[in-house]
Amino acid sequence: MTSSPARPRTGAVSTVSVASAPCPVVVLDTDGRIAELNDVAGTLLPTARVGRPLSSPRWLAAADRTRPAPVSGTVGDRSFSAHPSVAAGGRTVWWLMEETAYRSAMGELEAERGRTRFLTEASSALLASLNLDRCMEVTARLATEHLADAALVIAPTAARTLPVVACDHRGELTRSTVSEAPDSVPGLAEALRGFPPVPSRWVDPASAPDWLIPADFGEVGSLVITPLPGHGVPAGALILLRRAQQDAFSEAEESLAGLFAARAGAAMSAARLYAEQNSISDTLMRELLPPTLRQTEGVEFAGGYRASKDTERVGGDFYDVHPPGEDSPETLVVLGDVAGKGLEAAVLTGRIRNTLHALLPMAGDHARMLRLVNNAMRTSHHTRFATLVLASVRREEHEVVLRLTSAGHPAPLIIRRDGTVEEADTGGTLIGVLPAITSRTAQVRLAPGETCLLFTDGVTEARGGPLGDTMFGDQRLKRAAAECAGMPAEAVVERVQMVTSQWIGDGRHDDIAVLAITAPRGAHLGAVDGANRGRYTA
Amino acid sequence: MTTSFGTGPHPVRLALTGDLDYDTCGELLLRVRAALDGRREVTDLHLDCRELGLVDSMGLSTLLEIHRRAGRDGIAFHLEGVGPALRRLLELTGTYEYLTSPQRSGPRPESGRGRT
Repeated sequence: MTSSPARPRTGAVSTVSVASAPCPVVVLDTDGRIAELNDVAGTLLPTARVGRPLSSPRWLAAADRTRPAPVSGTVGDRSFSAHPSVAAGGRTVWWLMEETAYRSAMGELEAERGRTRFLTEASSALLASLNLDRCMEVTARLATEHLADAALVIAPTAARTLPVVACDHRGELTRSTVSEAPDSVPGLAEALRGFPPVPSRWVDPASAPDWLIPADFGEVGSLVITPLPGHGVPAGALILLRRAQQDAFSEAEESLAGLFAARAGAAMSAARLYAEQNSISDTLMRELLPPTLRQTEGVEFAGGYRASKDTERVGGDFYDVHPPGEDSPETLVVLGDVAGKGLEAAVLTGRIRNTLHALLPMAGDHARMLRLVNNAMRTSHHTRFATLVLASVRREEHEVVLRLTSAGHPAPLIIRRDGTVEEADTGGTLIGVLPAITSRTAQVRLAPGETCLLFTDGVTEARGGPLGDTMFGDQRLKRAAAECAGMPAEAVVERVQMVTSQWIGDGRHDDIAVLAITAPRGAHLGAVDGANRGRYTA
Repeated sequence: MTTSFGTGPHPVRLALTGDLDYDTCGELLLRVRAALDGRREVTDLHLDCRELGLVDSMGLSTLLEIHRRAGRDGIAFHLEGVGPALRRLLELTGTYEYLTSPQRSGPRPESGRGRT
């Protein structure tokens, strides 16, 4: 429209030519009769006649004639909006503008917004958890709410049964395992195998097995199977069911289902990977956690381990107590520290512990044992090393005799009954890097009530104190050890751990491992704590 | 960390500052690699520890790694300005001799030996 009817170029309202207007124009009298009608309007409204009341479309006929305002509605399958202008004699000129394309674009936009909203919601709901079961439930629930009357999520599995989470038309979730082969449903096996470009498959509802259809669902009208794509591996399949009275899936709905499936699959896949990694680290953890110690062979052993906050539970420090066996008459105690943190350190720790275990028959010669471990640990691809202390322990009458060898590790402290604390005279080279190592073994005798304390540098290097940045240090450890004179092994460990913890406060710290070897007090040493003396023959 | 270069056969000198621990050792390795890579004429690597703070087990592992790489490339390794704390760590772990003696293996030994 190039000229506005409200402001004609001539300045007179009556000169506007309704007949020549490019859009449908209807002029109505004050009483609603048609005063004028152009050809386009005549074609659009075939029943309209000049002089007769306007009967259709109703939304225009019913429009307020005294104070006209724009109205809109449909004529057949086309949409119009009618804009009024007041003409002479109280007549109203209605200019009809077609809006069909605009309306459909708006509708499409609204639908697209709805889809995006749904997908965004779905993403945040799905990513809220890294639990596979929960992801499957959320997927089934969202699919039921937005895509179908009922939905089933099937996870692929190595086992013969299929884990299924179903959300039925009432919104109730059920989980079950189906022992039927996926081949029984056309397209399901392919979807579970995750052939990348598998399109959603329409399946004849009549061919669907019973387990696929929720109880009281009624007749299935349409059924679609969509693969849930994962990270490199298929994450499962999504089955959408609609009842007979519902419309079948449109192309747009199917593509929406595909987009939803991509998100659900990614979330399920991430949850599955996370679960796998968790189970791997759980398994490793179980192997790497230090053992619980108790009295063996008439000698008290106690150990304490506090992992660095950065690594939690397992890390670079470790200890083991190997009771005497066929080839080794002494108890072998190992306490050590592996450079590094986290899983890498934990794995190296595991290797060292296993190697030492295998070398138990060599424990009579610490130097040789350490040389063998050094050779076994040396690799070309990194220079991670371990420092450790070996202690061979045996009872000799009332005393406990120790052979102590340090491999690059802080020397053990000997706590005498009178409160003096000595450093064991041992030293050596760290393990796992150098082509040749040296070591020096110390012989120590513990009288009843005396303790040999093994520790990692997590104790001495613990930062804390009043200002939070002072090292705990050797002297404080020796003072704390002196206070433990005459205590049982367990009490010594607890005391040292407590003092260190108090020093550290809330601060960061490395792994801390402490192990005490104590000669029990009293005349009847073997009967202390009622522990049995096993194969010990003094 | 500072690096100095010359032309022709020359030593590379790295002055280490701050703590050498789990968080910083990766960067030191990168710097050393950057300083040595593509310079076939490097004869000696000097690590100046005068300004070095705390060295933990990962720091020691890194020093050993640098020592090993230098030996493999025929570059003499020199640890200089070893303070009491670092010396104590090296002695405790039995690596003091190993890290501070001139390397005898490698295709280009003995150069710059007088520095240690």
